[in-house]
Amino acid sequence: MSLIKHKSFAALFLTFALMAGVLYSADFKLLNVSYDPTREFYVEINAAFIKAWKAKTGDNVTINQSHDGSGKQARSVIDGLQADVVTLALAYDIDAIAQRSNLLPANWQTRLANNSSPYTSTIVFLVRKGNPKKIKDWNDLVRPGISVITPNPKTSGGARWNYLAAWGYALQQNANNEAKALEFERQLFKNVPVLDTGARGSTITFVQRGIGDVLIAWENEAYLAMDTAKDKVDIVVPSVSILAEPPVAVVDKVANKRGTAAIAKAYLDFLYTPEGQEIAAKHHFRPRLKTVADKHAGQFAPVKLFTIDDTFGGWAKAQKKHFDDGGTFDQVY
Amino acid sequence: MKKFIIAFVITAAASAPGIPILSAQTPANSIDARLAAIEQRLGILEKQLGIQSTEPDSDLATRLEALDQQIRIVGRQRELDQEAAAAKGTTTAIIDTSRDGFTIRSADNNFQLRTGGYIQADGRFFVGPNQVDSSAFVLRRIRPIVQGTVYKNIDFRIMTDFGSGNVIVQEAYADLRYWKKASLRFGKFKSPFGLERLQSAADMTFVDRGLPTALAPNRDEGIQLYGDFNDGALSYSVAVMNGVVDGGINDTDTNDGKDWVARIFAQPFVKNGAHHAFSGLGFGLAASRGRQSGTILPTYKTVGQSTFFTYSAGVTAGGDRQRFGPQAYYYAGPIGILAEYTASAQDIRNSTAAETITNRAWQVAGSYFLTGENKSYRTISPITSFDPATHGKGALELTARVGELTVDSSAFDRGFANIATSAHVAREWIAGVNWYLNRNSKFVIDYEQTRFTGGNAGGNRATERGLLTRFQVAF
Repeated sequence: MSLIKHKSFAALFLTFALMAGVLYSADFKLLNVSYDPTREFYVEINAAFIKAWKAKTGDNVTINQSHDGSGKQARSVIDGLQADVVTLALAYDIDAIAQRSNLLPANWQTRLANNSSPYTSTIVFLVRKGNPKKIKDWNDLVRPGISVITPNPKTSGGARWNYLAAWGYALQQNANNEAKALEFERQLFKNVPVLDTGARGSTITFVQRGIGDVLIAWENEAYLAMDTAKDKVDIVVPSVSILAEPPVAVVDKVANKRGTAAIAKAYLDFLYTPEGQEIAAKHHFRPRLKTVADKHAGQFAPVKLFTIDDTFGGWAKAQKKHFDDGGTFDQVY
Repeated sequence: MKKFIIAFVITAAASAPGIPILSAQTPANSIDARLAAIEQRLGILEKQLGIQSTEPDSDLATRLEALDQQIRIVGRQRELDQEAAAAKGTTTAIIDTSRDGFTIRSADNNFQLRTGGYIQADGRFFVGPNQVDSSAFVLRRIRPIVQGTVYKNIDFRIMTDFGSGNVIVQEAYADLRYWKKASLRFGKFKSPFGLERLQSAADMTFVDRGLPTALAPNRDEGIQLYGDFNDGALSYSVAVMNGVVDGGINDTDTNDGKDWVARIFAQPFVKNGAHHAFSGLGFGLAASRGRQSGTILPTYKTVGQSTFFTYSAGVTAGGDRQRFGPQAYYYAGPIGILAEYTASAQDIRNSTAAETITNRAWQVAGSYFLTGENKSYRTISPITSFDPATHGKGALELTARVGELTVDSSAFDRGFANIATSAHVAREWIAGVNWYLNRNSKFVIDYEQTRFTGGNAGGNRATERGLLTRFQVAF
């Protein structure tokens, strides 16, 4: 006799549980683990996405941000930081997450357009107002007496882009002679008085602490510094630089566990939308979407760009050769 | 600004260890000489901080500018070093050694590994005529303990025992401790029944526990739900265990019957703080019920570890087993009182008869610290540790206990035990003194007498008179 009562009770309980679940699922939380100079950009992206998502689905979403050097952030995710999405400085760092923790598949970069890089950037120089040391190109950074600020490539993705940009320039100037490129880096880092762990730290060193004659910086970070200290610094665009493609990815296992996989993907898709691309341009990232890129073409100085794939054979090779223990960076600093 | 920089560097350089102060011969009005001296001292500072220095320029303004940069770099490097040290502090494991053992823990305390243990070196000396047991030195307990925490709320504990020439895993369990009011324990652990049994052997007031503990279950394997309410004012435990005989410990179960064990314990004034007259009052009730068959039956021992009761050969458990145990303690300043009663009923049988045998035991124990320490259920810390160099005396405690264990007369009347070899009643009194050298070590000296009813072919077994001593180190 009690069997029917038990079934009825179970059905009632299940119904309430489902209702509770449906009601509870209206609130989502995402954690975006990103690199140093994207703080302000993602603050605006988050606000826009939250509004768009609410309008589309009626759901509330809270997005938390975490910023530090890209390599350091990747290690944090590998060590257990519960990131729903990662938006890091370079593909190698997301590769490391995929390989060491299996939190996302190895082919993660093929899942979104443009190698999962919704915006690009490059490496430029920030100099003191009026450019008193007359710094115009990479070869000026190795002059005696020039103090160069750049973060530590062991912890910072931006620093690795800086290093490779300098290396690529040296190769071009010396008919691809790698020994000369190595010597160029040695001379450059002889002029580096202090290494921060991330790009934002280096900006603080240069702009706020007043150290150094030139900061090697992300283009967007340089423009951001100009926004706040235009009376103190100028931007110098070198003759050649590297095409930096900061990638983004959903961290599948974390997002699946937290029930945020769909919204995490929508969040990254939003970066490719005209609205997301406009925000990227506003924060001095180079948009991928042609219409937005054309609209903001005058905002970005023309610069001859080489790619990581063409010059270095991809991030895996570049990492191993230059930044792993015993790599060229260890030989010059 | 530049004057300020120079003043700063002079101050910094002069205060830095290993850096010479300005020479008295330096002309005060020679800016160039002073600048050179400052550059020299800054160079030493930079060397100490591992910063690569640049060659001084000849131009005065340029040299000042370079000095300004160098000072800023030194300051920034210090900032970065501090940030790195702070970041390292959040991830570096902490190694801790204290009187409670040795601990390795993560910076967030979510992962911990603690090692400890205790050693009890006993001497048992029996005096008087017709003593059953021989005097001997015994390593009563040698128990290394490894315990820890993983993922903040999961604890584990492993305690082996090498005492008395045996090797046994006394405890091996894991706790899921997500909610204070409802935690789960899995493995081999003390069955939640006897008050004195649940007290650590390292914290006992006497050389060994009183007679009621002989009727309580010891360590067993099973699952326990337990928790606290109102900051420990009320605690409870409910466990399903394999089931062990009185005082028994077991690693294997040979029948399908299981014992339910439950205990509730109240300390109604514990939240009022140590100054409250009844904050050390605790009382509770324990009960167990199970069905066991075919298993061996218990033997009972005196505090001197001499067996005074055993069932006859061929007698086995054959049905229900129930226990009941009211218990209480009261600790007020240097005084401690612990009282416990246990009744254990077991259906037994032999080839011709079956019977429910109910054995009963009680004890009242008291203690008093001559040196003023506060007595507690757990170990105590002397006000001063023993140290001849500082005239520290340690803590001195006087102790006394009386107790009795009565075996059901049916056990003898129906032929389950032989009154010529097993005692019907054991009555003990014990008095002693404990000298705590420090929190981790103590001497225990007890004199005990246990009188028996029955237990000898000619009537009563001879009274056991024992001088029981112990040196214990627990950490």
